[in-house]
Amino acid sequence: MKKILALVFILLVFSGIGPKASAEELYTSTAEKFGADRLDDALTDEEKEISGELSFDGSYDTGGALARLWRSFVQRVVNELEESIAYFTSLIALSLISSLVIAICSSKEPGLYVEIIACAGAAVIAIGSMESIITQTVEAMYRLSDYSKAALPVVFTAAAASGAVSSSAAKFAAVSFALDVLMSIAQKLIIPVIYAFLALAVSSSVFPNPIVAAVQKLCKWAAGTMMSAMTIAFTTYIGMVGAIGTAVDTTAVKAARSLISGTLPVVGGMISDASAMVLSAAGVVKSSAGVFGLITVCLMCMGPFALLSVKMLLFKGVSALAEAMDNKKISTLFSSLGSAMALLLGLLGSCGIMLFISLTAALKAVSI
Amino acid sequence: MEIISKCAMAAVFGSLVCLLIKKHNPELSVAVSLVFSTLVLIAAVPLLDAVKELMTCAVDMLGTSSTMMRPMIKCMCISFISKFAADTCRDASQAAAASALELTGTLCSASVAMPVIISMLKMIGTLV
Repeated sequence: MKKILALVFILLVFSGIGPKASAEELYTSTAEKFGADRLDDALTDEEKEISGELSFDGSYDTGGALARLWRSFVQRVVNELEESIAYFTSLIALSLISSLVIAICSSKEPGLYVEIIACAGAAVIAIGSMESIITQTVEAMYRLSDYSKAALPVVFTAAAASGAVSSSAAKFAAVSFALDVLMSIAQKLIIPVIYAFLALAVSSSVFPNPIVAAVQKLCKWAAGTMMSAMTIAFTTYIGMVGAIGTAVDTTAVKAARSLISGTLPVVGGMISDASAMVLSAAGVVKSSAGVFGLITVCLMCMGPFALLSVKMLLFKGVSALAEAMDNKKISTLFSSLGSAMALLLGLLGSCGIMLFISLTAALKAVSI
Repeated sequence: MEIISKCAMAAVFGSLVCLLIKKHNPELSVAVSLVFSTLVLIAAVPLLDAVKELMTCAVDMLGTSSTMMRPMIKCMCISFISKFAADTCRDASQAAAASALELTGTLCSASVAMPVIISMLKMIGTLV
């Protein structure tokens, strides 16, 4: 009963928009009430250009935004490749020189030291850039986290206004709690594990040691498992919360509409129709804001994704080249650095997917 | 091909001469061996131009990271010197001196590698 009354209250509040309002005005004023018009505040000018203008009348150009997003991603990949060429050329040169010097060295021990110097030097050069890459990934995660705090209330409020009163509230509470917990886990647990993996990878490549190599593998496994467990737990939790609430909401909305039309003898049917219009307006705003949110999540992940993908592929490529030059230490080092990039990529991907699932959960809320 | 043929001939001839005089004058035999070895090495010097060219190319590719080159080249030189000197000592039946020289060569290589290893360890320290 309480839910029905809450829904009646929401309907009455939004019924105040006015009977003469056009559909466009209705969408705009509904969006303003939810704060959906401020969804693009967190975006940079370039990102706003890619995402396109946010409109709430259902005319948001999703296809165009996706096309611009793809073009921008490809451009970023090309830019990253161009910027990384000099850096990776220097790493290949170092590997080549060390192989050459080792081949020329006639004694075993000095040759070993040449290999150590080359590997340590390559580690110093590579880790210097890794720091900035990790920082960029963490910044992207913080941005996603901040954006979730701005976007999720808007989309879930719109979902609640479109009829999903109890499921939206439950989902929003669940999503906010789970996202906060999981983002904290990602930033405070998985990132340090990746740093430890990097440190162990460097030391085990320069001074091979089976114990260090085993701990390094353990770190990689732990980071990968935590990310998978985090995403699976989040998806399951949201799925469970959503399944319970949706059926309740559908029943509540139908009951509220029949209550209005049945209780008020003459104007009941009119109010019921007006309420249906307000509900559908909120639904349109929810869909527009949700789709815009999904595109924004992709936009925020795009830059770090391009950077990490390019670096990962190049590190793996240089590792293969070093192996071909019979430079095992350097090959192992670059292969491990490539794995660290893959872990970062996975981490950012899991955070993005969690936000994606949250927005999709709001979009999938009951529609009348 | 021409250089290696000349070097091979000089080395074989030098070895035969050393073998002939070793019985009567072992000291002179060591000196002759040293002279022929040095001649062979001097003949190989022009070949280093190609290696130098490749190194220069690699240093250009390395850019700012070319500071790593110096310790590697030093290690290579230490390897050449210690190997050559230790084998000369062995020719003079001075195995202990040869071993000491090889050990010193290893220590020299380690000391050359130390600054790079220390900077790597400091870098690992900043990560953890």
